[in-house]
Amino acid sequence: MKNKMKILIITAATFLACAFLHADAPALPAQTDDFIDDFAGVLTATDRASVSDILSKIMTVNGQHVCFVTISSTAETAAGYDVEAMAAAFYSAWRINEKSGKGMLLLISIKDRSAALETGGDMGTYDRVMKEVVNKRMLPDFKAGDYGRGIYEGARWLSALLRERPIFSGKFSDAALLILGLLLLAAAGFYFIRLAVTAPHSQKNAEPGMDKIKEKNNDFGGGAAGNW
Amino acid sequence: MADISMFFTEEEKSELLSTLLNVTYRTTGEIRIRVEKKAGRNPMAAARQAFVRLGMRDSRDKNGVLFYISVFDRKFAVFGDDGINSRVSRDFWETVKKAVVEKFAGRQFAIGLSGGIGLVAEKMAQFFPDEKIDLKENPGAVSFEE
Repeated sequence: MKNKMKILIITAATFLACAFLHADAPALPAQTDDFIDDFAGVLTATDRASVSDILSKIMTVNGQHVCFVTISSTAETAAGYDVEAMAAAFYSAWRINEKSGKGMLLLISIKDRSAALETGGDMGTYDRVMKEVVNKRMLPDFKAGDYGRGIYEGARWLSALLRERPIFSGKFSDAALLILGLLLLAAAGFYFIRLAVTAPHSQKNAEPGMDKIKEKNNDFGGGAAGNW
Repeated sequence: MADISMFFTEEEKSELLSTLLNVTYRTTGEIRIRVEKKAGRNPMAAARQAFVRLGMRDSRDKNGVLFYISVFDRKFAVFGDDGINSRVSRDFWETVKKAVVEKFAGRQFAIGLSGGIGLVAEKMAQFFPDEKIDLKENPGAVSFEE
């Protein structure tokens, strides 16, 4: 009986503490755009449109949701956060990962002169790539005070690098492998049946010199080759 | 070097991607780099095959150019589609190849490729200029054999 009371008290205390902490968590600004939120007001309308265009293409082509956010400073945005914590808070509050299962949020705090990256799903594998992009392609423009160009360059480079890498980096589940195997078997079966049905017919109707035409199709373009 | 994706350092890869991306702003043509393990006896045939495999034959003006490298047998080929091949002089590809191979011999792979890409980009911009001002991307500009 005593034990039950203890558990009840601890549970109630935990709920109360959670409710208290939640009530105390400073509110973050609401998301205004799926891909770029410029709370610091450092981007022109053209910059915003260009960056949004690139990031939306990443979403369409790669299925990766990348979101850039600028703020004046963490203190002016919501008290009690450093840049990393705020990036994580934005990421979670705006449910970035829920839209694609592969989310990335880059928070740039202008007056704090710092940036933080939050990733989810298999996007963690791109941490290093993004850090490289930030350091090499964005910071030089930020240091020169041209945030618009830096953010645009960052988006452009990230897009090029993400497209170069494979989208899928996880492991197939057993069920997925089974389905893939069945599909391959079905495709192979279909191919062989089709081959058996059409082969005699094609052979009969094959025009003389067909091989030569095929060969010619391979003979295009020009160039030069050598050893080094 | 077992893993051919290590053929370029990350920095070299970034530089090459940047060079290739810049090319796309000047011309409707497309340049890509393909790194493979072995070309076999005929690197030109291997480059042509890679060109088709990468879907580069689909360009409207047939103006794609592939820089092909086979790492283990140390072979290089530059291969251009019919559109550009019909416009450049006969010795142009030879000039590009020489410029690249000379640098490769000194293990300056990225520098060699950038030089070659520069030469091809000039011709592409001359024969296939792109006057549209829009944002472009060059997916798969540098690719490696699996």
